[in-house]
Amino acid sequence: MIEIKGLHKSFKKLKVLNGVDLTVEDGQVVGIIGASGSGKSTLLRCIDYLEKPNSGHIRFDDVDFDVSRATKNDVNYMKSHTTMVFQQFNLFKQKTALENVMEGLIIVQKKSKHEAKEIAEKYLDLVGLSDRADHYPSQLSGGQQQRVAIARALALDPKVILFDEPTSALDPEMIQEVLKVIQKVAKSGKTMVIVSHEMNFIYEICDKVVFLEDGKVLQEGTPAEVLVHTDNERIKQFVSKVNFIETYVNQYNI
Amino acid sequence: MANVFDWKLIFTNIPELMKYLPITLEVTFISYIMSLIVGLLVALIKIHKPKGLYQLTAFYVSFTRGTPVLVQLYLTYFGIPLVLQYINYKRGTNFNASFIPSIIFALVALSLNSAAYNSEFIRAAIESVDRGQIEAAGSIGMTPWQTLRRIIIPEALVVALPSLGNALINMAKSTSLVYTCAVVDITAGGKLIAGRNYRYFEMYLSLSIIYWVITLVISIVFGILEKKSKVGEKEIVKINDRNKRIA
Repeated sequence: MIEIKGLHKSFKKLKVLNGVDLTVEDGQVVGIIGASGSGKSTLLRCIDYLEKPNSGHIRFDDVDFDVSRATKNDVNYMKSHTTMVFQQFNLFKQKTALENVMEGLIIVQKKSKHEAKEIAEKYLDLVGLSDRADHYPSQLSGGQQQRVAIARALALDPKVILFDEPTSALDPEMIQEVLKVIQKVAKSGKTMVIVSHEMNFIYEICDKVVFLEDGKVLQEGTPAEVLVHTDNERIKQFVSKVNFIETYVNQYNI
Repeated sequence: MANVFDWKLIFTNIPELMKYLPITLEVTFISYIMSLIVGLLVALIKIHKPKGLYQLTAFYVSFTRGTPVLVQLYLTYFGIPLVLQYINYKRGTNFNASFIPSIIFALVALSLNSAAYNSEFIRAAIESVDRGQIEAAGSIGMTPWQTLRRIIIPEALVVALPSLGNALINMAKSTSLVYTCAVVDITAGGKLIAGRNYRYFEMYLSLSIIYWVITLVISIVFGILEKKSKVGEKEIVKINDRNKRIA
């Protein structure tokens, strides 16, 4: 379980996170939504410690620390138990799909080559890319690259997987194949935090939705509470602009 | 006028020169490898800009690029003994510069000279590696050192290979100056041999052929390496073939 209290992060004079509180229970799928620049990605990056937050308090299973006094151990714990899936996939260009998945297993988790290969093959199979194991990223479509990236994150068996707009850089045709894989992972009971603009998708797979505005949580609750029954004018305005209501309601008769 | 120019001598010189070739190759490769290591360190300092060290490397690169390699060879050859003398005087130690093999001076001077140039393209190559992959490596828990070794260097290498080849070619040619440090390489050896019959022109032609062959071999090897290193850039496989068939 992750419990974040009053997280602040600024880049020079620009305040991006302004005291964010966020709780992610084990096995929960949490969606973070909000306008561009509201701090969604920065929040994820702070959880993965790709960015160092300025202040706040983090409790994550075995560690419990104030970020201003974070020890090396705390930071390593955060890093090694969370893995990010990026908007731009960020696969290692010089390595094949299989090698991409094996890299962390061998280098970070010190598994034998044989064992790493077995695990990597299992996860490539899970994302439906067994037949592309020996392809380099440049030989894969965007959707396939993102699925490899998901396999790479899953293979390390982190406690939490963080998705940072996983479908924003994809062609519309390829979005579905990636969302299906993410859904499959969600159903397997993995704890996940997803930043996405795919509102229908968020609505469908998340247990909890958090709306971020100006680096603060404006509202949080079940997807229906935040996306459909909200009283907040700002969220109503946002939801109407991302054409969630029309498509979704018509399709599923909510 | 029958003997103004002796064609045959150009080629008969070569076997005799071969006994000096190991020295030339030794100086070339050892200095080259040292220049890459120092160049990588300087490049990392340039990228991360630690205080103090950064200014020091900026001075070093500026000085090295601003002075001729011949002068630098003399500076090390005369400078290192002076430094040792000074240390002896200050600390009461008893280092003796004459026990240092002269090849060491040549290696130090040539590798430091080349490293200054190398640092510049190594830095550019490292900075060309996409930030996203470095972040991905961090996200899966790799340490900065592991990321450098496993992700950044292999990828930067592809970008840097042409320049690395040039650097090796330059190094091979620069070794012809090591006579200044009393090292007898093929050029110095050739001068000694030619002194016997004053056929200097023929000798320098023989030397040209040897250097030319060395640099040709280097360019061929680097050409092959370049081809091999581009594994990640293979042409895109037609992933839509299957879809097209269905449609």
